[in-house]
Amino acid sequence: MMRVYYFFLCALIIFVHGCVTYTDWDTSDQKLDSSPIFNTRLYPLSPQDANYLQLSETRNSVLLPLLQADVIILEFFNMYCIKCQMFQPRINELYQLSQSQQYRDKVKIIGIGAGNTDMEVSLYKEKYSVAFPLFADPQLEVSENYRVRLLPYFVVIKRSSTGEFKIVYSDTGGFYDAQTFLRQTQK
Amino acid sequence: MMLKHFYVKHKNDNKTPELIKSLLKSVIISLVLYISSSCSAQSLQDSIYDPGYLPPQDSSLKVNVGDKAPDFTLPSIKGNNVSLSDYMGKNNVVISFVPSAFTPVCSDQWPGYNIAETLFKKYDAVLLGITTDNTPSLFAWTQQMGDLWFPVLSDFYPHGKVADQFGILRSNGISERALFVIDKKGIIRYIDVHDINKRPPIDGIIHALEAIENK
Repeated sequence: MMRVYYFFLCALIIFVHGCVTYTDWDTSDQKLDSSPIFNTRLYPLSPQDANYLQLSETRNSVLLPLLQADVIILEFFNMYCIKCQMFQPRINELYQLSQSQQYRDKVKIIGIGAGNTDMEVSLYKEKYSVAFPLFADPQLEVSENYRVRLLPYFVVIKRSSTGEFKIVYSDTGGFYDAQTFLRQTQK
Repeated sequence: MMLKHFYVKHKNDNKTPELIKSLLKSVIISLVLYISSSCSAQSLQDSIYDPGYLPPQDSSLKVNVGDKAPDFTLPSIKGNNVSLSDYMGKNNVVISFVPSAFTPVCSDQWPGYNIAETLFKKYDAVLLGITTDNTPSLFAWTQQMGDLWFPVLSDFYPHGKVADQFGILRSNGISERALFVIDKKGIIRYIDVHDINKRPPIDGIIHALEAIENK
């Protein structure tokens, strides 16, 4: 009996924690501003990254609307940011989960090095064995388009029923559980 | 309701004190874990003092590329002394002077270098991080950055002596945000006295090390 109460109490605490910290999903059109999406050209695009994004390997840059995926998760990070460094393994876990049959073609993850050079992004990619595409944003052009605040910062972009992309989530911090976060993108 | 049910059901139960004790314990452990996880993630950010915008530079260099670097010996936060001459003939040396502990740009400069150890090693280079703060302050500040692989040195007393030797001591006693790359012979091969308000990209250091190794 004691274990049952203990279990429920822990579940309650985790539930409350989740509610307090991660309630920024918004599928309404109220906070949406789709224009940054169409202004975002990311480069250079390696053949491996083009392959992951299901684009022609001869492309050297990408505009997000070209992607066939239903959901794009943008991770804004910085090589010098301790919280980003600490959180990167969790995002790698998210990537691994997104590679399952259920999500593989539907969800794509892209990292943006806010304020980083190509060299700094390459260093970060190698250090944390990041398998998904990372792009440098040295002048913060992309980051400012998305109104990025403190890092790490996440933006979830989803294709609507009419085929247009819209932002359904944007916030600093991260996620409590990768599986839950991924599942949330499908709602 | 749940609590009422719990109370009615267990108020005459001999095991109640033990049960309540156990529940309290679980609550405390969960709260401690929750609070500590929140705090550890925010501790460095919460202890930052923002000095606002500063004049980009406030000193005159006393050394140039091609000069012999002035030798120095400074105390490190590990308790030992470190001299530039310790590395001569063995390693290239990158010196990163940052203005002050617990300030915004400085606090996210060395954590970046901390994940670049392999790259420094590739070019046979060591990194020395120096500020004019005293050793305990430097220790407390860098502890929040995790386990830094490079020596962190205090140029506190005589105040800013080494920064002054290089000509990067500002009029208020802090150093410039400056990078020096010194080769194995002790010759300065790269200088970047950066705008104090901005973090220099790592590219300058790496290109300088490449140039030394490819010579």
